[in-house]
Amino acid sequence: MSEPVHFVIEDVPTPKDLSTVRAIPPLLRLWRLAAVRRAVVVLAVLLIWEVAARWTDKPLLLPSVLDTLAALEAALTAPDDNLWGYIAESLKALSAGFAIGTALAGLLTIFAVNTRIGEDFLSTITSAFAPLPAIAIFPLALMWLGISNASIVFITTWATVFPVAIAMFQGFRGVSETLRAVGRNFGLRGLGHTARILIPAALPSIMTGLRNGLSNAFRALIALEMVIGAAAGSGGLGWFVLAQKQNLEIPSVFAGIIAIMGIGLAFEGVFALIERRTVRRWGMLR
Amino acid sequence: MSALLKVEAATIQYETADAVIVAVWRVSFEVERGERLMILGRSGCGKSTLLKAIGGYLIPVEGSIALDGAAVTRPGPDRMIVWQDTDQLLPWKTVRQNVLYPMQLSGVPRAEAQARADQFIAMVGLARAAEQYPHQLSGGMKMRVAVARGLAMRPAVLLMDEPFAALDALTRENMQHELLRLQQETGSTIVFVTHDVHEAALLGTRVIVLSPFPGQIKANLDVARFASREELVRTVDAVVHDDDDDKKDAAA
Repeated sequence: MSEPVHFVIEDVPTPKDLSTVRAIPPLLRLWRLAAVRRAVVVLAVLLIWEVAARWTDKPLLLPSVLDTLAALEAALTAPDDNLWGYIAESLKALSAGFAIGTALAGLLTIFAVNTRIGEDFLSTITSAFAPLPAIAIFPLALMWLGISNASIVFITTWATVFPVAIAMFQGFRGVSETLRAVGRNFGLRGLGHTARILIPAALPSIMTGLRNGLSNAFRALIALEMVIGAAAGSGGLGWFVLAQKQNLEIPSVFAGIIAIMGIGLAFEGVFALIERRTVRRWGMLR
Repeated sequence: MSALLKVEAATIQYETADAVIVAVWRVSFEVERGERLMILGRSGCGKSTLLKAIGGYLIPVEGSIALDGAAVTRPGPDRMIVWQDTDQLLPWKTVRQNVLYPMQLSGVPRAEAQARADQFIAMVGLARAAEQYPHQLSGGMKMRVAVARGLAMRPAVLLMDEPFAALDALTRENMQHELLRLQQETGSTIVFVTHDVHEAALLGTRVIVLSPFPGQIKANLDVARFASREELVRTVDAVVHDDDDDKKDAAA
């Protein structure tokens, strides 16, 4: 047996000038912000649009960016019959359909999580209806409910239910055996177990489902408003765009489309905010 | 005084897709208050199944399991469990909230629950990490939180299912010594499943050796009767090898 070797390193030189702490140039730091890069992309698209509009010089087919922005401002600030009214109309229909659809999806999911026939029902129904755009059932809604708010709520509900239900179900199924067992170890059972363990544990999937459900419902709603608005002569944003086209107010058509995009982005922003405060903060989603 | 935990001729089965497996067959033993019972055996010997039955997740088809004289019929916080899985904390709660939560659910008064949570978080050395979320912790730290969560409930018995098996060797050794210290400070009763003879010899006051197909008790050893840990390890090894020879003879 040899003696263990002990040694001490003395007089370790300390680097005077640490190369790792040199500063990153300010412009490069700015470019590393996603918001800055995105703003650059938006500006580039607007620039291409403006150049194309001036080059084609057919304002009835492609109005300039400035005309469109002026039309958007005018539509938003008009004393009566302004864009906010149409936006409110759309959001009212959307929130009704989305709320009912989410509630139905919750019921379907509970049914599917707890019984085998419920699971078969959900997976069969969703795979059968998944390829069907929600607007495709419009003729049925027209037959059963006529030109009415009920038709709009029916179709937005329809557009919400399946994406939400399937994501919720997959989320619940993905909750680990360990977490389930931990919940039962705490004495939780039935609905208490679902509310306190399964729902928070499945939250990343539930958020994805709600997000997909809402954007699906919003797309269906805009298309539907164009169809129903043409018959009823009133409606939300979809009808605004179509009506402006019929009046040949082309910059307003573009302004309406921009408003629709803006609302879609706002939804995204809300979901991103909720996710940052919940599932991302908890490390359940990167 | 009668034993705290009484397992009497318990036979435990579980179902897979195509068969009913008898995992534990007519097993009997008792655990006294303040004991550290180690259930030792190789994978497949039914040791985890036995622990799940004590936890209330499986009910014996024959025989009985009773805690403090009452039959175990379902999971409950009087038998807090520390699992092997490092992802056993609720990811949406901080360390402190994780330790508090089972106490809140069981109706422990708020002030007392908070005092106990702080006390046990400090005891496992995580006072500075109390406001962190589980994903910010290492595997060893998560395991410490799980132990603190279990002990803070002051369960009749703390069940541990190979809790340190997934940790690296250094962390495991630390955790073993910490567990001993915590158990001695709190006087808790522990039932601990392991496949590691040395872990059993280090941590146990009593070691039960299970042999597989179906799970049966081969030996029930009182650690205090052995002169040294090495002697206990040798005895356990001998029991396990005897069992191997018996199985080979039976197969021949």
